[in-house]
Amino acid sequence: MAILVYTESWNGSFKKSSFEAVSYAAQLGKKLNSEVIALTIAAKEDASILAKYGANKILTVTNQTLELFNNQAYANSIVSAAEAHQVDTIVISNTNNGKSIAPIVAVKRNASLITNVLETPSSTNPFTVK
Amino acid sequence: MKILVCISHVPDTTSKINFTNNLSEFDPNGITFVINPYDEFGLTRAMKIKESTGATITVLNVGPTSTEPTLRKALAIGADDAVRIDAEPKDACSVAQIIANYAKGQNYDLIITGRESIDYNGGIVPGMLAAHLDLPFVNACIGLELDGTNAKLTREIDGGKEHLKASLPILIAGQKGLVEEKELRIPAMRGIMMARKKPLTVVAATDVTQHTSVLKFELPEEKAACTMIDAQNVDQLVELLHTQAKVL
Repeated sequence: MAILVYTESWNGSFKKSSFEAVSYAAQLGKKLNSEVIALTIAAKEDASILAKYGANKILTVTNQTLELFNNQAYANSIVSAAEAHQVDTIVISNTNNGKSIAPIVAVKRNASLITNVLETPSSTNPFTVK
Repeated sequence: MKILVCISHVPDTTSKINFTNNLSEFDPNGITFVINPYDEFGLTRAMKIKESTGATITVLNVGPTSTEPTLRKALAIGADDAVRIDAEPKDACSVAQIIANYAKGQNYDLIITGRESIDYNGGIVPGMLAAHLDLPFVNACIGLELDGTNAKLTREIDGGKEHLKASLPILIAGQKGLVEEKELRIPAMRGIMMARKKPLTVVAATDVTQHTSVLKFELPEEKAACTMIDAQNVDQLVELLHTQAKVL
């Protein structure tokens, strides 16, 4: 199984919160012994920088209709990527856009959603986190 | 036009929060509950729409009998009727599903929630509710103007604002800016009297799956004592940031 981390960008450049999210996913990946897949949507910056923060694989979605943020379309992209790569954990930054996407993704995946996470999980089975 | 405003029943911001049962449960003893402030912005916006279009406003809460005074307050502010879904809210995922199961088939044109409730601050219910109902969703909404079934919306984004348009039905998660604080409605005596006669319907909750559960709460650490330093003494400041605060 794998961890998918959505990396948010603004005007094509990755936001700092995206690097934080990838770093978090990388720590989580060590605990879960899972591959970390970073997903970029409409980012113009060189995505290879995400590897420095711990991404093992990078998926890039480019589509003119996604250049402007649309929570449903972005959620669909995340869900499609998760389904295609046997993802069981998704990491999304706690930004305004992230908060717009995460609940939609959770419903589409019939997944639990935990917001305002402060630490890596103290247990992974059951998933227990502060 | 039918408007649904979801109301959270939350502790007043001045309440002293305590936990019981080995810090695993919130202790409601001695707490004054109020309408979630973010929901108040939404309710006031709904009232303005009602006054200009003749819309009807239903307020809804998922909770036990003890939440009814909060719904009555919303009725006193001007909502037309209230619905209490009789369930102890366990987690945001199940609350969103319970509300969605009720709202399906009710044909609301506009659903307004707060951006988050000030008790758990999860911000989960609005987006999940929109997803369950397959409605367009605008989070952190700070502006809403309606022209028939067309909506012009403004939402807060990190470091700015975004202007959007959409067609009803739609779900928005509101916050300050949807109306200004000075515009918030305070129930007048006439409204309080009328609220007693307005319908408050209690419906049974549907069976839903609880996805998450709280193991333990923690209160924030108490702030350390403040050390005053002479504004000219930069060396001491650097030393203390290094040795005590350990941020350098």
